[in-house]
Amino acid sequence: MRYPVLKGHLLVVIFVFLSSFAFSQQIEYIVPLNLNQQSWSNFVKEVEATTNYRFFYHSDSIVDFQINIASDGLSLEAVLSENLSTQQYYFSIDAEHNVFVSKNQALKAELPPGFIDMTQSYVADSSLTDQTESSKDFLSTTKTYVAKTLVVGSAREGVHISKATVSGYIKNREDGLAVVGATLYIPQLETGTTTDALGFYSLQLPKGKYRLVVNSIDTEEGKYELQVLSNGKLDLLLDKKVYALDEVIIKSERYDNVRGTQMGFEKISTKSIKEIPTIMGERDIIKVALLLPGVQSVGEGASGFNVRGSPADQNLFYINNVPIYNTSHLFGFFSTFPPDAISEFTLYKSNFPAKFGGRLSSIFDITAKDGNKKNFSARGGISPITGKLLVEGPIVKDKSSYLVGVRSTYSNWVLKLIENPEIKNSRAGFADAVANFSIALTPKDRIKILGYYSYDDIKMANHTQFNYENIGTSVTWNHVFKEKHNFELSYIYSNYGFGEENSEFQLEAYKHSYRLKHNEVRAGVTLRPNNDHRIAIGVNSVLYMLDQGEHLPLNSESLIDGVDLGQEKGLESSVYISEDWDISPLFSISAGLRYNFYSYLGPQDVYSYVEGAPKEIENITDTTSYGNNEIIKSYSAPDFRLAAKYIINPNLSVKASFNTLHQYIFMLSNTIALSPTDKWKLSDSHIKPMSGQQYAVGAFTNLAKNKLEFSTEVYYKRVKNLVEYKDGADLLVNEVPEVDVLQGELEAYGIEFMLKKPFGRLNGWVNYTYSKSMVVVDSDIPGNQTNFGKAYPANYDKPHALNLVLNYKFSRRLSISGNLVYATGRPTTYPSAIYYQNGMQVLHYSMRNEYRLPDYFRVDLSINLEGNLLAKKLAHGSWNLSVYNVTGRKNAYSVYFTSENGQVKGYKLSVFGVPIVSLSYNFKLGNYAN
Amino acid sequence: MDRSMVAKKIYNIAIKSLLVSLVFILINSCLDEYIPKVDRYENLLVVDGNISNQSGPYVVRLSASSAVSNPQYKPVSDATVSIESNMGESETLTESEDGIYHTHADGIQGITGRSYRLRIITHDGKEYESHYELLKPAVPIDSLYTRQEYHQDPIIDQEYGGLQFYINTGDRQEDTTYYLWKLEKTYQFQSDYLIKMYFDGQLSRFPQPDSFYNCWKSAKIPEIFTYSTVDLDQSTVKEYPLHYVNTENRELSIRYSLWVEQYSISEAAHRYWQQLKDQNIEEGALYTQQPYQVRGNIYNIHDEDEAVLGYFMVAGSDSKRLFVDRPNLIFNYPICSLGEGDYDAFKYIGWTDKKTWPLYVVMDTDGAFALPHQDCLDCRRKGGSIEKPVFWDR
Repeated sequence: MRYPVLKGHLLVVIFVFLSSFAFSQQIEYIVPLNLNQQSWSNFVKEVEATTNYRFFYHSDSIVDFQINIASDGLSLEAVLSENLSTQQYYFSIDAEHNVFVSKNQALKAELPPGFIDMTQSYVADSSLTDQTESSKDFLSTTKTYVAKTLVVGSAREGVHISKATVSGYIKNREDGLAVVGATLYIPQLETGTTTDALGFYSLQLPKGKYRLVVNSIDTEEGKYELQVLSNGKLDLLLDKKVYALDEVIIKSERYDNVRGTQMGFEKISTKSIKEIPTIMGERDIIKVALLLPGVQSVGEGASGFNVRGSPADQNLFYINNVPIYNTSHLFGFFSTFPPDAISEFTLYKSNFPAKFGGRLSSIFDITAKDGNKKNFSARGGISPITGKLLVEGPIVKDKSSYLVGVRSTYSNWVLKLIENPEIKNSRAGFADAVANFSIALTPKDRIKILGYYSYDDIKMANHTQFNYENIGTSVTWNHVFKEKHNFELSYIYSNYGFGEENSEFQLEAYKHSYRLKHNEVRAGVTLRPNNDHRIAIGVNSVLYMLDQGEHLPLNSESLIDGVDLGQEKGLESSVYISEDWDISPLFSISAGLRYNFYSYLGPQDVYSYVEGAPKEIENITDTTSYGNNEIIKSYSAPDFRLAAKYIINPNLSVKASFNTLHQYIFMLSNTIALSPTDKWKLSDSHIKPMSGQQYAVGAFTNLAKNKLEFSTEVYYKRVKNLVEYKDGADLLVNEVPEVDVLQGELEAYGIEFMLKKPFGRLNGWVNYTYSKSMVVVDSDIPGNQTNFGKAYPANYDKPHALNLVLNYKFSRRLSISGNLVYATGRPTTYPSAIYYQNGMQVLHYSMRNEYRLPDYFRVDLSINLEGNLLAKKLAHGSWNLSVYNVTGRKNAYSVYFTSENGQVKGYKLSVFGVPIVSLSYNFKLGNYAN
Repeated sequence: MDRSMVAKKIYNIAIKSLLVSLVFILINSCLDEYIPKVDRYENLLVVDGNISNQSGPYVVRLSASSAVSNPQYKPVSDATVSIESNMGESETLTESEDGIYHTHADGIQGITGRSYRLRIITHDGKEYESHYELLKPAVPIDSLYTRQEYHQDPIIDQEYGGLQFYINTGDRQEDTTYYLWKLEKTYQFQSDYLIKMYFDGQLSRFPQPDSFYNCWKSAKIPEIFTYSTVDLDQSTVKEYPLHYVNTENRELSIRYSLWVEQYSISEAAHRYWQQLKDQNIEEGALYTQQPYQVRGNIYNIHDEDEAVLGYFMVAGSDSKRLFVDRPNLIFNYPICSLGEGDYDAFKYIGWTDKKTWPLYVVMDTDGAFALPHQDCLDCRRKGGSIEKPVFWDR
């Protein structure tokens, strides 16, 4: 056996498989003159197409250049020698006609002693390094970069076919968990694929020998020599990445930045945010989204995200297919996802896969962690606010697993410390839990069951009580057939509700309730006829049942009249088909069509209004009663999803996308931040569904030998039938919401720049966004306008936003991290003048959102200290000390005005006006690396 | 419904602010005084006037808006103001005082069923108009009455007794009527002492001890009462609560009179007043609704985007006055009583500054003189007038 070794940054170890035909006769190949002046890549293609020579080189390191062929009748060796030496490249050709090309480093064709030389070596430069050094290098690198040759199928089965399908699972060697989103790449063919949510992949390849490179966030890179003889199964085990060597901060797969068709897309894993500073010691993967380009919130601690200039109710949060309708704990200071139980989330903000729909602005697709399939493990932690515990382990070793994670506030001791009796008698608690079961029925069938729960219970000074909860579950059956296709069937249930009890004013004491139930069935199939095509087809149907609640007197002393705000029912169904097509290695498109059918169903009493008049109570002309499940109003519309990618060179690609979307459920909310009593409401016969379009163009490039990723995207979006509200509308107790709803248009555009350094001792990212988001609600009827029909900036319009996230590792145990956040102040409406009417002093306000709060600026720091690095120990602990808002800047959450003795006084409210220091401790069973 | 909704809104805001403050205290939130720079809205034209079916003269006040940080009434003079009807009648108003323009007693008269508008040309040549509004038929006031009630103080957690005024309207002729009530109070109150002597360099006997004992004070009630009968089936408004007077001051201590003008206004005017009302209770922090700009019915005929404030109201009107005597309630207003200091002060009366003369002196039941705080014996110093109003019935 022989090992040609390429040294240096390529770090490629190629294993040449010894076979009986290894000593094939050398036939001199004469390079035809028509390849003169061809580009290097074309030249390689041509030679590979017409001969049995195969070229191996790292495409990222070889810049395309022109081949010069001086005369006819030159051998390949001569041509390569002539051309490559001038470019400072080195090459060698082995007995199997494999051509290895490297850059700037002398190719070490000599092998460690003890190997039989079977390679002819051509070195264009004479400065060959000595043998002993190369063997040392080889030995020291073999440890991390294991080379293996794997044979797929058998020669006999493959006799009559030219192409074969290779499929299988990629798993983590240690815990047997699926490696999701791993990229498999065949450099020779410039083709590849990624694993799905089960770690499954499928590749169609011409029979032959290839190098396969597998990458993922969590694992070491795996490189394999493949010999594909016929269809076959190939499961690969990858080693967990040792993070001390290569901490991954945020990672769209390495190839994705440039090669993936996807744009407007971010993926963040829980591990990668370990060092990011926290608020009060609560690590929050969802809040990290605020540090990404194009994601804003109206203010500190406010619930809801505004993605690319859209209101918060245009985002859809899924955890393993379960939609979560309120993602905020304590009014928005934390998100409702226990961080230890989450493995990652993917945020789609411009190009939506056709299987997603129903919201206009973004999809947060959160993946719960799968339990460890090998052995039992537990982890936990304590912060000033919460305690948390997670246990996981196999149900059947290597096949099925469970994971249960819970988090809860452990007491109200913080409140008890405060002298004020109003606060002493208050209570602020929350809890959440995730249970995830993964059961392999057969090697091809897998059932996943997720249970989700979150709860908030807040009591104010003995008189106001709030509670709200999300309950959800999903059962998903996944079946792999013909080794490359994938079928998935899910049942999904989600339930959100809140209750409020208010006895602050005895005579007006009330209780109020609300509930939303979401029942969904979803089926989809992913077909991979060959490597260039990926087809997804599916259907889904959601039955919404909303109880808009009752507003009832709390006790017998209360004088308020009870109001039943009624029930709502709606059915939203969709069919979709999408196709990802790699037209050439450089150009690919992705096209999807999703057709939505929505019906608003009875029982319901529906009012009719005088035509041409504003919808007001006095304009009601008639009431129509609809029976149970009777269709009151139907809407249907197609969503188009189009995306294209063109790779200009291996380090630069451009992408473009066009998406249309429809949304049939929205939040009744006219407050600046989402409040815990905001209600979801279905589109009905009066309130039309919202629709949106987005155009986006982006450029993606890898710089400095892939150490840096840079991307920029420009987007333009429009939303029609945006739900807005009449001035002064009261939405909590509103029996006829349509009289307070107005529908307008939203127009948003922006440009985002992102520079990422995903690896290294110093890693992190910096991004800058310029954006604009304008709303207009115009009508011929003055009562149906807001802001006199003139466009105004949306509440969350923050034109300039800059986020910097840096992490520096001093050692494996000690690291520091910092964030820097700057954003233009949010727009606001100020009292602008005082005038007198009928002897009264009247405050006059500016046009809507005409002014802005002072700019926002914040710096956070944190220090992480890991426990010792002993390999054998029962448990590993880590400390995190975070300082939020180090500079103590009093960022304005809002500016408001009160009248004091006839004098109007303005106040600036800051949520975190001082540095917030918190210390948290986390532990897990096992050692640092586990 | 209207009223309870407003009340509910206040409560909601209060609760939410409390909730917010809880969370905020938890994490060191803070409030700092902050005055934003807002200067685009000073010196906007403000119109305050009306025409009704009651006989003239009608008054239109023109002023300019002022900065929030420096509120002041700035009259606008030298404008040409006229009222026109859709029947071609027209009268140019006369400026009697700075910014106050009125018609003549024998000039234009509001007639039910006609439409009226206001035209203004300011001295710098800008032209403004109001939209024509129909003078709706006046709805008579059926009754105005009071009831003793205990209301919670909005700031302190305590209930106080007082009188709640209610109004019942008479039959209306239209399906939907929008009401605006303008209220003016007049009350009689008394000083705590009669005057025995006065000092203006030398001590003299005061000829009429009760000269400054009885006073009357009038003021517009700065609250907005507007109502729409949209969601009422019956044809009259019953028991609509107007102003509430508590027992924490002297307003009800002797005799109180409320003058109510009831206007049948247009839908647009109702929306204007309702919006002003909403805005005035708006306050708070995290979950507050968006405040918004309110404009009246006046616009610049060459520039519709120019914000013009205030309303020229065209309305049928009726009015009524109610007198109430001191109710049988526990009053809590402060009363002066002679203390050591007051007797001492008299001893040093000769040392007082000339500018404070004349100083009035009282005599207690034992015949001792005292020099109390002058507010305690001169009701004029509390804003009253010793002239009994002409309408006062006793």
